[in-house]
Amino acid sequence: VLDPAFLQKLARLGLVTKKRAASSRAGERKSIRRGQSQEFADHRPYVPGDDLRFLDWHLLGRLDTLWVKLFEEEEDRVVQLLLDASASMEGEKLSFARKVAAAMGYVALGRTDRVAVAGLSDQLVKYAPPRRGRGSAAGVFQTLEGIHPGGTTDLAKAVDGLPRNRGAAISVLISDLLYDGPIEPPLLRLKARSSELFVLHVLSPLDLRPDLSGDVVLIDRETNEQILVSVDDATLDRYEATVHAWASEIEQACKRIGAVYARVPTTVDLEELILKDLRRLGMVG
Amino acid sequence: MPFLAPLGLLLGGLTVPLVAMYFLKLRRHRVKVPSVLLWQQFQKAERLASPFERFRRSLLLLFQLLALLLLVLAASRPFLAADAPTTASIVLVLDVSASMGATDADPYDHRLAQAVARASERVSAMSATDEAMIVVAGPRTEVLVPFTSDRGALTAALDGLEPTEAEGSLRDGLVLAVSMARTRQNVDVAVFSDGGGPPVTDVPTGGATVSLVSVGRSDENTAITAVDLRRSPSSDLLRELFVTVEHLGPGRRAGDRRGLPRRHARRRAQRGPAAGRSGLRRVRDPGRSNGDPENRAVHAGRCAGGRRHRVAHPVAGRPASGPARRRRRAHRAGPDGGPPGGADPRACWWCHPPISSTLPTSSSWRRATCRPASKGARTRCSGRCPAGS
Repeated sequence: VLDPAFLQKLARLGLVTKKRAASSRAGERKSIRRGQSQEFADHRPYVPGDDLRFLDWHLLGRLDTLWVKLFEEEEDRVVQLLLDASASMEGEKLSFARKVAAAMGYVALGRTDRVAVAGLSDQLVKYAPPRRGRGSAAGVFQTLEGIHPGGTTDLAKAVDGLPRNRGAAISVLISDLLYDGPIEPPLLRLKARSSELFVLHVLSPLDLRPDLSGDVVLIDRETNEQILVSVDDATLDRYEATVHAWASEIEQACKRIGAVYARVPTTVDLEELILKDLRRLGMVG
Repeated sequence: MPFLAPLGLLLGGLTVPLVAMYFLKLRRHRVKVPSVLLWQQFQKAERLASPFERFRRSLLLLFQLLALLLLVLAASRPFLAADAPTTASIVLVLDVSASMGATDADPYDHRLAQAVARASERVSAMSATDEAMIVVAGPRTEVLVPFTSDRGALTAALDGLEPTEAEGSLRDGLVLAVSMARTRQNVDVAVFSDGGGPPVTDVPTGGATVSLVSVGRSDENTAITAVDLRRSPSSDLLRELFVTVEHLGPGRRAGDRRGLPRRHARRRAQRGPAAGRSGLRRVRDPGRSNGDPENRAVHAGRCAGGRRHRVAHPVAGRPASGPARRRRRAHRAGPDGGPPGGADPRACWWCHPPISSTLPTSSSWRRATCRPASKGARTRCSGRCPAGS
């Protein structure tokens, strides 16, 4: 899926998390739990049964009270790559989304995170459970390759179908978000189960400014719905403005929820996107 | 509205295939797009912005139907019954006698040009069915353009008119115009003249309306009525030029040259250089042309030598300086900036030679003006000039 040279550049990166969350396995991300790491976190009064190794002997000598030292716990995080597999993604959008997902997955695997892959359409169409380690990259890529477009989009239902992992995940939703319904509830539901939600809004030139002219019948790939339009340059300009308005509406919704939103036209360079744009947005680092 | 060709209305049946074609044409290009969701949003926004957008699609059909209906209507040749328009006829009589060459009202345009301008106004005011005729009253009376509604031809004929050098009979022109007017009804006869010549009020108009459009400012008219060049009885080499100047009109105009028609003024200028200037003129073989007939006529009686002559005005000559120049300037412009020649414009014989009914080419003129060109030659005033130069 990806170029080896590019993968080497990705190896230096990791997904950024700002919130603490609990998980089940040790890793590199700070957990909400106290644990075994080198980093001091807090004191608490000793209760019988506490490990004497963590007793603060200095405090005992000075104040003659028993305090236990607490340390930060570092755990891993499950990264959910949620790929929109509806019919509207067919073509360059899906292949581009696959590449973005693969790059994000590779970044995550490089930092001891576990990566789960899911294909969403009107339901959960494909799911690969979390895997760990850079060795699983091939498996992740394979799963991504196995996601084929088809069906309509029902984000709410698909999100509900996702298996629950222990603790909060990092969810990366890669979709064109052409979803006939309110966009905020499914995103909110997704956000509730994740510590971080990255929304990568993939748009092709066919969405932004299609190369049409004259009287045409537009056929929806998902629903086969037909619509008659008369297109000229002025119409296209106004259409483009509508699309931008719609996209910025989604961006506002993401901001309200607390998700990081990035508009990703399929025409941008993948390397530039991951190494510069997403870094600037604070998704990877 | 009746129709000349009601069968043409049957062509209206063509609307059926037109509409049918319009519906057949609706097979549009089909394009698969990822989603029409955005297009639906877009259309909703468009519809809110312009509620008439949906009519635009059928606008083309409406135009086509309208064009077809107009074609069908034209094919069926509708007409409206109305009274036939009445034709007005004008006869334009233009006086082209010599007096029409006067420039008294406008120094740049003679009277005939003004008359032509007024006549052209009448022509351009004609409606398409009106007809006009042009009659020219000069030495010959003729119909220049017969009755026509062609305004271009009328205007072209008017523009080609020039005043003649001869007497004209306005009466003949009017008689001709009235006789032509009898062939029609409601004829308007418009006479463009300066009003010179005998009165024409006794011409029977025969039902036509006659109006006079008068041009020119006054009927004062001084004319050269005869020019005669004769061999001088005293010498074979000398010629005598006789010019008869006649003053027509009520006022008197004795002895004053200013106000003469331009042609006369030109002749005067050829007699010698302008006042205060000197000039060189070659005169040879008196009585024979040296290419300039005017030259011959003017100089034949004056120059006998056939040599180069310096023609010097008595007050002219070499550039003077000091008091002489001042005197000369006073002579040219008059002491108060008035007419040249000082206080009395007629006092200087040289500047204002007297006019009588016949002007013989004077021998004194020859003697005084023409001297063999020699260095330092200078003519003095005879002493009658009030400037005293």
